[in-house]
Amino acid sequence: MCSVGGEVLDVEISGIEQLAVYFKCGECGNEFRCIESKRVRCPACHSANVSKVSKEE
Amino acid sequence: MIPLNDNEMLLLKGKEGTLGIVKAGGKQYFLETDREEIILALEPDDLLVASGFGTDKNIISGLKCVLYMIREVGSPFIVLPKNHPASKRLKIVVSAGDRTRISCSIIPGTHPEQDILCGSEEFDGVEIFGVKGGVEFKNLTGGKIERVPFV
Repeated sequence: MCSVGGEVLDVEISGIEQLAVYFKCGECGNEFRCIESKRVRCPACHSANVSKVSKEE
Repeated sequence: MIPLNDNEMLLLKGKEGTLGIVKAGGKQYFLETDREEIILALEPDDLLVASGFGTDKNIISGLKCVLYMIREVGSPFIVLPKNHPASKRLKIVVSAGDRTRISCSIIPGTHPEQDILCGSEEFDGVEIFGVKGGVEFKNLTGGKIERVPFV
């Protein structure tokens, strides 16, 4: 994520997308993409009962 | 280590630019691209770092406002697509995570790393780490650090 004004700000964000993985919520079934960490919670119901799922992109 | 709690903002003031730094507070943040939403779950001691070109009162108020909008109001990070005309209008940009590297020599399309934040030349190469109870800097050779109230 970068930068301040002008051409230098015009960057691709492929790095962020490569870091993100799919998760599924064990409570409400919501699927979402998240950059992995110890604190992943479902953005819909806020449950911590979430697990990684593999998905073809 | 420079102490920083959840109620404070650290300002690193240079001659041409200013950085505003707050604790991320262990919240979830949202990165919105033109294609999808990506969730970023941060640790309490991770940092939100805002970089502004300028050192006047307006820039400092702007840094605080941007960080407040993100952390306290819950505004998402907006990731503009490449070639978007708004890219050249932005005065303040933000990075989030446990480590941020300041660079003044970002070349479009050449930085897959996600911990680089554009800053003024005097802060080029400075690394900022969120550590327990505070902030650590590496390669910092100038600038004035102030701790000010945030919330």
